[in-house]
Amino acid sequence: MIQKFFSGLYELFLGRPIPANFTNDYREVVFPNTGLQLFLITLAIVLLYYYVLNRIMSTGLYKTQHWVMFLILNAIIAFAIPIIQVNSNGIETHSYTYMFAFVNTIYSLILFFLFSILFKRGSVQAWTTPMKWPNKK
Amino acid sequence: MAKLFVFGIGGTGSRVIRSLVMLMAAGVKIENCDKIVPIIIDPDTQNGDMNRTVELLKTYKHIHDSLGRREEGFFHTDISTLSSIAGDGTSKIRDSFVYDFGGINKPFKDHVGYNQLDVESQALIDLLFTPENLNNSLDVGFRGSPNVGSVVLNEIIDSPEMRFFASNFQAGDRIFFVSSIFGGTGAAGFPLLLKNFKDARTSLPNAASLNTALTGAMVVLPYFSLEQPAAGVEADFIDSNTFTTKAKDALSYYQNHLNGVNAVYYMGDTPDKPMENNPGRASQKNDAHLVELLSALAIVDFMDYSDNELEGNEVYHEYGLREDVSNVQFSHLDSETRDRIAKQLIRFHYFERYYSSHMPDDAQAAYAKGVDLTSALRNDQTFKELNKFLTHPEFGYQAWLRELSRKERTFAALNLNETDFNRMVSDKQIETGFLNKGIHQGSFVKELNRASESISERNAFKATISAFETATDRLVEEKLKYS
Repeated sequence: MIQKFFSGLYELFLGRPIPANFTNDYREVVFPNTGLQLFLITLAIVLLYYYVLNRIMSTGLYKTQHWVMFLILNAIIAFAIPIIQVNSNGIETHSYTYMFAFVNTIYSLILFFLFSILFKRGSVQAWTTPMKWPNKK
Repeated sequence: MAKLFVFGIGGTGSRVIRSLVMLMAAGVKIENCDKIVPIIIDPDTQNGDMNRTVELLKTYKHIHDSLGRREEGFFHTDISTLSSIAGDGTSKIRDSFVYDFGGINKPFKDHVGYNQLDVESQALIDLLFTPENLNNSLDVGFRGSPNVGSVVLNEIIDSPEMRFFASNFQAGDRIFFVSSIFGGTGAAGFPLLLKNFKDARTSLPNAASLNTALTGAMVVLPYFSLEQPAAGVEADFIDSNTFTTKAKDALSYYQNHLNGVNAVYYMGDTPDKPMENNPGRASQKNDAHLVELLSALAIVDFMDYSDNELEGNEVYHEYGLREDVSNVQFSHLDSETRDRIAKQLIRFHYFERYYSSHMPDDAQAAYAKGVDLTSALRNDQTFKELNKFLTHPEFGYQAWLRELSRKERTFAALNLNETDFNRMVSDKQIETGFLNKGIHQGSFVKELNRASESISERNAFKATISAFETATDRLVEEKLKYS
């Protein structure tokens, strides 16, 4: 189920994994692992930003520029995850790997944004970061 | 709906009301009344002291009206002009904080019809008034001459304003007079008004309520002196050497003739360096003085007493500092005074300092973004009024505080030039260390954001003031730990 979901998600843009002899490794191991890690790490960073740094600690990192910094940090991690996954599973590195890393980065941006919208209301210092919408006063 | 009518008579009256407005802006609570009606009585319509107090009152009223009725907080005390207390727009008097003398721009001599009098009457007048008294135009005020003031001011009792005041006076309302004893307008005006209000046979409406109204008075004794012109120089001036003599004479008059007042407050000080001698008009714009701030507290004190406590024998109050010091800090005030004003003034000062210096950088902070503060600051008239109240070079809070620190006896409790919040309060500084930076922009924003979280108000002005009230309260309690 999870395998199918993540394979579908990545193959939507990347097409069938190549080289062909590693297609199954991608579908069974790399895609689900990468997808889950992306989900959990992005969630963790969003929660860290809104609830730890801007609620419990009130560090003053409430500006949009700070939010963008965390977005980029997450994107860098998201770019690294597929490469690490591919290497650690003994799969040959191919231009497909980097395309995969790129798509994962794009997903990280979207996911980070969605989690931000979802969780920012609970932050005292940053509920208007990156913007006030959809919360109202 | 009990009201307090404050009659500020003469230049000192205006200046004390100026300080009272600052205290009210800081949120000092005035008990036992819902509304304050300041009435400034000064024939000198150009008077600098009066005009800036009037501007301040108007600005305060605008801000208060925007914030609406509240039980506490900055600007929570309601003030009203005399004409608007009827509330139905039926008053036919001018909507102003100032009593309208209607242009008495003629010499006192013409005012009393000196030239039409018979010789005996003229001789009597010559006995009572100096040639300067007779020839000076009345629209400059009475120039430190109570003998002139008492004649002119006795006539205002029959004016439409006074009749309007009396007919809107209700049982339970109180009256407070603020005047100096050593000048012209105040020294003459206070006993005259008192006598007329308390006269059982007065022609004013609502005589019974007026006669029995609880009445207080702040009588300001000499506290400043004026420069004397050099010998041989012909100059128009008030002779401040007569202040003490005039004060003594007036006091001995008050001793026997002050009937119907429930509490009288006296305050004065040794005059320090003489001020510029401007007998009236726009140039009479004296710097604010600690005595005026403390005199304004008499009103707060008077209102603290319940009706029962005030009824009965007259009480007399005098004021003293704990120590005779030049730079007065909160710790030099008696604990009762300190409890009444210190925290409020510190909070207001923090608010003003942050609002003026740091808030423009906070566009992205949650408390600001949540209510679109940046656009409100540009477009909302109330923010402009608040800016005026805080920073106007003539009557603003900053100017007031700066003036208070220019005297020999200064009010030095709050340091206007200090940019570090940890050192703004002279008698309590915040210890800082590696991990504790005390109050700085970051901790201030944090408190503002935290405060705004629980504010559901969507109006930017109301929400911002409310956030500052909560934030400054927490900063004073938790960081400054002022007690």
